[in-house]
Amino acid sequence: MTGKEEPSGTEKLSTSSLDELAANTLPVGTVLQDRYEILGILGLGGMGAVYRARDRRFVSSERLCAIKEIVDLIPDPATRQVNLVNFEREANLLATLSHPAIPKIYDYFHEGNRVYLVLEFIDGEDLEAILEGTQSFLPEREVVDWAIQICDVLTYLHHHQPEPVIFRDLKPSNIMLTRAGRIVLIDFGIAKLFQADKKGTMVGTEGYSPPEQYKGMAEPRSDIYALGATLHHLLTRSDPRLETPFTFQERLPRAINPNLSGEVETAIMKALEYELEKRPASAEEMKRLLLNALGTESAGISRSALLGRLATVTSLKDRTTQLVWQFNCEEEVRSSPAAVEGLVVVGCYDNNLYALDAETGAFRWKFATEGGIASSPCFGRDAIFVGSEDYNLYAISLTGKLVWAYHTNGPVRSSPRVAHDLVYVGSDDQQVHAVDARWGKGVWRYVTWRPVRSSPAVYEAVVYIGSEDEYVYALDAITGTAKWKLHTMGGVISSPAVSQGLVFVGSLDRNLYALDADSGFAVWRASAEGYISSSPATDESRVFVGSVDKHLYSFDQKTGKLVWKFAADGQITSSPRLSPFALYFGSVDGYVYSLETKTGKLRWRFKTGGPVPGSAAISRDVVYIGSTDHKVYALRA
Amino acid sequence: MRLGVPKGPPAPWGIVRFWGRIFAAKAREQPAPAAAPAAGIPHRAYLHRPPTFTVGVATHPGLQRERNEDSFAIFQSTVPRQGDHISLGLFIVADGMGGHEGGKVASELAVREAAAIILNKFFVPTLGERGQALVNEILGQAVMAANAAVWSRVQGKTMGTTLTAALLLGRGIYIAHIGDSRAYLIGKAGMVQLTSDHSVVERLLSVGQLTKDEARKHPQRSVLYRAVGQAEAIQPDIYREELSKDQRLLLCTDGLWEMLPDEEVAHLVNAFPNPQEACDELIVAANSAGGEDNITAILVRLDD
Repeated sequence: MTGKEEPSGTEKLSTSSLDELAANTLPVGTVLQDRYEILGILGLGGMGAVYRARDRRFVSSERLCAIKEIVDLIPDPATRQVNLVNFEREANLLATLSHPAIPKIYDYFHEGNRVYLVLEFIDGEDLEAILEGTQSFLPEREVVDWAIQICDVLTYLHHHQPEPVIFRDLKPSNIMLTRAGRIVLIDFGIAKLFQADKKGTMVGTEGYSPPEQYKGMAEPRSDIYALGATLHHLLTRSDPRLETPFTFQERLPRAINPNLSGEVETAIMKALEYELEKRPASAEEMKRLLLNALGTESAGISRSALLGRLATVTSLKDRTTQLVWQFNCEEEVRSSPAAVEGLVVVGCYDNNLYALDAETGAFRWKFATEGGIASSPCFGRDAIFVGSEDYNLYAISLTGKLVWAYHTNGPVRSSPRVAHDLVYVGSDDQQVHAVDARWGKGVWRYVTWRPVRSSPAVYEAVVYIGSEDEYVYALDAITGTAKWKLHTMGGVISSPAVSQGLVFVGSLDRNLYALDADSGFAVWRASAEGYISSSPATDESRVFVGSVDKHLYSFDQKTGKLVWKFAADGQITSSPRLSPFALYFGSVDGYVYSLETKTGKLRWRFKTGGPVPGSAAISRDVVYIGSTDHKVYALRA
Repeated sequence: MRLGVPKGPPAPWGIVRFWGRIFAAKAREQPAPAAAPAAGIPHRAYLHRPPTFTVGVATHPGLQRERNEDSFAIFQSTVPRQGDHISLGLFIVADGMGGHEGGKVASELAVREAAAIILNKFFVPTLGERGQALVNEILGQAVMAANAAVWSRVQGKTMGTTLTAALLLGRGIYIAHIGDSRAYLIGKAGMVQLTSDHSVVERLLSVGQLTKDEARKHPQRSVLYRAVGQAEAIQPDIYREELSKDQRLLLCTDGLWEMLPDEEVAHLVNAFPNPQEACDELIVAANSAGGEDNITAILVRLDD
């Protein structure tokens, strides 16, 4: 924590003054008040050291105690005064308290220019040290047991007469665990008697302190929040002092530590509510919540709950959707359908482009080409455009009549796009073609070094397309001149998607790229474990893409950070398609999948009779998709 | 975009070929353009200017501090792409904190270090054949290098700096940000804050636990939970926005935004089309409002 204007009382000592403090500690063997013999240092704090000492009045037994000192090193007189006042308050407060989880106070005295407080020696380790000394998650049961003990001592403090005592600085380093497994709170330096409606300055530790403490307010439920923050830290190992402040609500414990029970998470998150009224009303209520969480576990319910959870998982996997209709072609359907004016238009390896009634699946017409159709049709300018392995790009009327054909020098496996009265398409002749949509005349061509099977994206008069020559190209849509090109380390079959000034495209180098649409500079790259031939889809903040590593990924558009990934049972070459609430894709495992866009959770999957390499078209709550089992399916979205 | 441009490539066809040879040795012979430039057109018609941008900058110690612990850096260039040059600009502001000379040392070190990384690892490679550097990665590295430099210099002392660095590429603005200096987009309709402060008060504001008014007056409003030079490792926030020709990009330290309400900043920026004049006026206005802290402002405008 850095303060450009350091608030008084929370000033952190720099290393140099800690060194100074260390140099000023009492040497071992020093005897204070002719009674307390210093045996060693337990720790160094902001105001001085804490020593382990022995009370020499008990001659025949080694009675240990902890001695806290306050040294006059802090140059700022105001801060020094605050520290002294806190120290005295701690002494006076402890003198009035009696609880097994609160250290007993034995003595308080001045000697030299220092003030000393003699306390019960707690033989154990603080919880921060325990966290630092372990690697894996602490056992939930044990942590909850500590939390229940803390609730007990908080209950005692909050019911203190005549005024409740607010601890105000609950955190792992202020909680000791004795060798006997007993919890003891230490450091009552800033604990104070609660005075309703009295505003003070903020004290406490950033990360564990509740919002109201930043308004100078502390009341019993402030300690409940700090307990929640402490439990969150202990069970997730994610240190709130290093995280963005007030992000507990975005960092659910079970997202970090999936072994935790739902009941414990609920209790912790209730304690961590920003609004006082939403937190457990008291330490007793917090204790009840934790006991219930333990109760369900010890009563063996958790086992059946777990089984129940497993059962829901399997049933989710079995959840399918309603088949609206299906249509049989004569060959495999590897391309993606398009929904056009009440028709579903789809190309097939039997050389035909089929037009089916979108509602019933009834055959309307077919248009025969001389080659298989791997290209997916698109609609615009009153015509349907599709490429064929017979080297042609076709324009077909809505009634299935040829409008024109445009010949390239290779199979057309790229899918055309229409914009600016031009149709853009790639060809295995290694060129990108721009063709007049009305007459089928070539307007420009752009030559690459390898077949162009990626499909163009047209955005703000720029055509973005990939080539198997490993480049992504940005071409002026009107003139066909290159604006920029970017080299990836593998062929680019995936088709670009443009969103908010970024071009997203996959490569056979196993990466998904985000490129600046204007300049072509790579902004980020995210890697999968297999080729990305699937084409990305975007919503307002995320980008989705499949990989032959069997995963469907969701990344943050601006940073490239993984949001979620979903494991299918087979490779994914199909491109995800989005509806307002879900996404759809096919997999080589034969299934058509639907996932929740936000979470990546499976909504349903539908089994077809063969791998599904193509992508879906969505129209009016129906998903249209082809499969290599020769069928076209219409499924309820 | 260049939809209104007459068909066929404009004048720099030869230039494209030239750069093509230098920057993309692999450029392949393309089919002849559809329409060759007609003869008899005045030479001026094919005059080509790459896009440019104008920058204003001003800094002032304010009225209540002896030293100016703010630092800044500006770099203006263009880089060649296949079709045309595009704008490349680098703008950095940093607001140092810490006793004695510490604040200035920290902010200056951070600015130099970040600028050096971005220019060496991003700008210089764009002049070569392939610029494979990832923009976000370079920005992250720049902030990490700045942090490492400040950390090793000031370790143990309460010393650090904010750092807000904006890289302009064409129309894209990429921002790496730590602390409570700010970046804004200002248009005729008003201004939008692009960055979010790394202050506890800002967090409390965003989770609805403080009102705007409480936040403005909060005694801890300048206390940061993330600053350059305060930890061994640091992760900046990265933002991307697009700058249009009727907008301005403003980078500033808290000496400006704490003194002036948004409306006044937007009003001044819109009233003075020249970015330098606008920056000068912003400083004057912040001082008139009290000038409680060092003030630094950088304004960027894309030219027509």
